[in-house]
Amino acid sequence: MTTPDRPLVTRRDFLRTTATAAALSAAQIPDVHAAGGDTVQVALVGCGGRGTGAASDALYAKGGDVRLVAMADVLQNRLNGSFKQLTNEHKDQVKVPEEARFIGFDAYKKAIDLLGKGDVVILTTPCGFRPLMFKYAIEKGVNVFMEKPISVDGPSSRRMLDLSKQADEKGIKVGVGLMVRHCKGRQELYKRIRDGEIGDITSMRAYRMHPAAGSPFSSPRPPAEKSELIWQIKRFHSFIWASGGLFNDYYIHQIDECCWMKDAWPVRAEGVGGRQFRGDNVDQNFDNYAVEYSFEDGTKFHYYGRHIIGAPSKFFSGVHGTKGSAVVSLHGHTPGEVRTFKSQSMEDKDLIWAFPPKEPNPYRTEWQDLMDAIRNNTPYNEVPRGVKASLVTSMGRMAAHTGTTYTYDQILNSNWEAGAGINEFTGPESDPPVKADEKGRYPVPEPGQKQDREY
Amino acid sequence: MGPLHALAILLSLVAQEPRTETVRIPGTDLKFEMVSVPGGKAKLGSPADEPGRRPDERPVHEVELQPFWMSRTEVTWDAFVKYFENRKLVKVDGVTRPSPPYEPPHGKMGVGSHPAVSMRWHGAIGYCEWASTLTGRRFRLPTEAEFEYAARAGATGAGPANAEEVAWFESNAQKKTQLTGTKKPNAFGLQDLMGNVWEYALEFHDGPEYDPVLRGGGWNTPGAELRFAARQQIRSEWYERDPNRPRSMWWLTDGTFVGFRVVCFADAPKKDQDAYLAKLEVTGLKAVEGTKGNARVTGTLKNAGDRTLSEVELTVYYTDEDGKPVFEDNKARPCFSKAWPVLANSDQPGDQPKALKPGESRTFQLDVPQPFDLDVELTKVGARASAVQFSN
Repeated sequence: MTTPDRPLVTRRDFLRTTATAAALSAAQIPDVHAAGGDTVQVALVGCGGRGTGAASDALYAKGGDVRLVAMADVLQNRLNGSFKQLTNEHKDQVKVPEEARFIGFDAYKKAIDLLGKGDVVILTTPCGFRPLMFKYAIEKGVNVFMEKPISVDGPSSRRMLDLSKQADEKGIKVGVGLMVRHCKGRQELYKRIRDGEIGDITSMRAYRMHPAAGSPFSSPRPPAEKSELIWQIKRFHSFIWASGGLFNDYYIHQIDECCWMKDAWPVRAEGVGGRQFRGDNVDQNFDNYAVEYSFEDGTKFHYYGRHIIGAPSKFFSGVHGTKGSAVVSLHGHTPGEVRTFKSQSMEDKDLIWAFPPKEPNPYRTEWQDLMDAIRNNTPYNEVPRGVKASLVTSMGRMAAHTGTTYTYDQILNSNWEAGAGINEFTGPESDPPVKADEKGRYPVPEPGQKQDREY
Repeated sequence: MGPLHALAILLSLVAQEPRTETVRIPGTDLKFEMVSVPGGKAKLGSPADEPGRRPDERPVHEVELQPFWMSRTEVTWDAFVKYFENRKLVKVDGVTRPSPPYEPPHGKMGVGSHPAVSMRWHGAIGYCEWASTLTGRRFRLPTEAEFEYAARAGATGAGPANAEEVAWFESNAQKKTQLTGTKKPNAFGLQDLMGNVWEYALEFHDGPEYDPVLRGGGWNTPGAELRFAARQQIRSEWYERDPNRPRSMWWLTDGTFVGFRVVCFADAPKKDQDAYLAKLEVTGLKAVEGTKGNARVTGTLKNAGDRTLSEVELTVYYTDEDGKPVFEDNKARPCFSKAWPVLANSDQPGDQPKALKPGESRTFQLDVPQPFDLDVELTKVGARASAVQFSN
């Protein structure tokens, strides 16, 4: 570090809340905190591309020292690569000795154990593991940043809502990686819509259409992939239990941003979808979806997803109102090139307002907001909103996958659980929640055939 | 070259229709036009007192180029999308391709006959490899010298005299790419070399570090900067919005003004050239840690055959435990690079490319990007000649 070494001081939490300090035993304050001061220590659990990116964004946060002190993954080479990347970019802030790099299904516990109150763990494993790891972080009293989505079905959503209350009781700060919510342009657009710039919202629509990116489409497991479970984790977009499938992983941001503009969550979803050109693919995803969400006041929000090679790409979210319309996303999550129009056709000549082109990077802003809350000890918990966004996304997926209308209450109270048994994983030999048939295929949703369960 | 001489060349060029040839990509409905560029001598670079000159530009120097073929326009979105999307429909073994991006990479720009944009250098050279394999011709990116020679087409000024007529740039492009081939061709019959999108050259900007150079200016280039000698590096703000680490080596998040075109040589069939590859020897291969965690690789290339070569393309890669080449890591990131030691620094004054005669050797140096999640050692690398061009 270029900053001089600080004297050994008590951690800020002890200074601020003596009651908490008194309640903590010495055993809960690992040695690693000795260099304390206002250093926030970070542990990274899930060292893939986004996790490594999130850790990097954390290390850019301003307001005091931030250090990466522990890393955990189930794959040694992923962790190695992530460590190498982060060291290249943040040489002075990456302080993860060999003995603080953990591999295995309990590695997350060992990484979290190295943190103390005021520190933050990044949960960027596949979404299916969120409740399990969030629970442990709460037990240990550490703050959390978790990547979206944060639940995949009714039971995991209920679990997360319950855990969220426990986090609040312990004053734990939790950020959820729905970074669009931290986008300055969308925040300004939200205000303008609330102020009536385009009148009352009459309908909304969003599109995400491009060839499948990441791991949603999978060929049969190759022989070199010896562990079924590890392979499913590597290809988490292919499996509902791990990610909620491509529907949840790809669509949640746009579903969330439209609901935000409407200032409400939909109460019902109907949907269609299918597997058009899937060849020998064995994963659980459809390659096209259309979902109609309905709000309490009857307003409709239509979502269209298509991942078919050769078909034109489109990425857009828009809102229509009684006095005009608005662009929420123009061609991607960032930059938020939001604008309002006095017509429904969204032509340049009808432009009312457009956010200046240069906006702060929301992936950095979401970290700054979380770090500020940690340093200032202000209430901060994005989980309830994150669960609702995840839940209504799952509601749309279930509607399309079952061919049945799903209501908010139905999905929330549903007992269909994709990831039963996740808590029992002990190693690569553990059984994953779904298994392949003799041809290597995994169960695929069959709309109309199964209605109270997805597959 | 005096002004009268230049004028004579120009007049002789405009007097005859440029020779063109249509290339079709088998298995697709794609076709594009190549234009024959006459060989000759020309002065490239910029005088020290030229307004707007930047320090990385080359001083004025004369080059002599053999005739070559260049695509009439930039590679279009339609063409590039066939390469990067259609892994199964147009399957080509051994060709690396961009991993599909999470958001449409053309952003707000047009598709169809608009120029392809946002790819990084590996995507551009991957396209060349793909088109070469499918057509049996050899395509590659133009060298800086070829690009500037073709862009000038005999012109000696700082930039095109009739910019509004021949180029899409800041004052007329309305902040986006425009359909390729809609502006007036230059004296060689080529279009959009200046403006529309910046175009990748074969070479790296400064030394061998993985940092390619772009030429020609784009839709967002101000008129005063639309200059033949201008060179552009990849800038960090073009990719720093990427929320993942490592950042994509296939796509720029904010590079909708970056594209490329191809050149090709017609004299010997690719299969004859490929048959000669076995006669090229790489010795003294050594790798040390370079900048940005990449391996800096040096070695010597020897022509052990009986033909004189005007260029050799070397592919340098990491090797696994069994010594097998590794071209991509588990996250589909390229971990190889290419070097052209016979063509290297082709536009450097006093450093003209010198053909590699039978029995001759040439040293080379380049940076090879490190893999993300493969346990390879930076020092374990391999190299092989992947393409040659016979001298006339």
